[in-house]
Amino acid sequence: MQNTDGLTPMDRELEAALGGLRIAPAAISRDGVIFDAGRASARRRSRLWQGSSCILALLLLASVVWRPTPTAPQRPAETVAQHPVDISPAALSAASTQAIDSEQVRAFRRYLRMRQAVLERGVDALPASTEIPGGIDPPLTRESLDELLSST
Amino acid sequence: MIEDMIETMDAGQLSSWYDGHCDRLVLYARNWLPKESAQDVVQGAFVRLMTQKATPDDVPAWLFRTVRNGAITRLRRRASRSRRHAGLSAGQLPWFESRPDDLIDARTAQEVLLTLPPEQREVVLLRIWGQLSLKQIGEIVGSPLTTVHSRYKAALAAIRERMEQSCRTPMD
Repeated sequence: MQNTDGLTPMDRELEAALGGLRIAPAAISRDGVIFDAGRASARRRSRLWQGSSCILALLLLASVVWRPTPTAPQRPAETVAQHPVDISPAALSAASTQAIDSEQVRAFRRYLRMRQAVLERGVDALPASTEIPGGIDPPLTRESLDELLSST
Repeated sequence: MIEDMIETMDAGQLSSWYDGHCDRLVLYARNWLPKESAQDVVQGAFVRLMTQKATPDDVPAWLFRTVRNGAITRLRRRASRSRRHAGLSAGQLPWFESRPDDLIDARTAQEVLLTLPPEQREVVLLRIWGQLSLKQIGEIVGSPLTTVHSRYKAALAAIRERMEQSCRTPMD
């Protein structure tokens, strides 16, 4: 026995006499303890399975019930300009050059110049028609059709 | 299944804990409960020990602490139904087996122990029959070592005094 400092010899005698008493045996069988431990373990495992099954069932139910509604494509809100907007060719050109590539800018400028000329001088200001690169297919004639059919 | 539970601890060790501590644990639990309930609490403690993922560092101290918690919990439930903790000794089954070569009469010892204040009786039960050190007892009951030591000394003095009284005037 440890940490019994300060005990008198009479105390030690009393300790020994008391310690000599035999404890009444408990009526607990080891097999019963092991059986209970196994039952507790099985119950815990079954609860684990039951819990995970419930969670999965709830998730399945939620996925069936809750369907996300397709959202309409978002359009930017149309706004009415409160102040007069400068739509002069220069302003438009300046504004559009940021978003349009250089080829489109050049084409747009050509169009604006032509439009300005037509407004000032009428349709005579339009340039003479130019041949489309690659040319236009010649008109379909009977001979050319026969030739096409025979080639296929 | 059982093999899974016991795989963390050696089966021989488990047997030695059971054989070495079962009766002591029941006696300790009887500090608060009658025998049947005390046995249930001890059985529950062994079941908990076997289902622990890791073996406790100090198994005897762990067992006594678990039994203490279980017994006090059960006592509170019982106390809410019948408040007669003071009269627990009446109708108590014997704590000890009487043998002719005992230096102290078993029945007298039980009666004297039951007259002690509960905190002193607990320390005596843990020290003498639980065979725990005063330091372990302090950890179990949540008191400093000096307090446990003084309780133990006071309990021994009270036991001696009452035993002498009982020799002069038999308790029966």
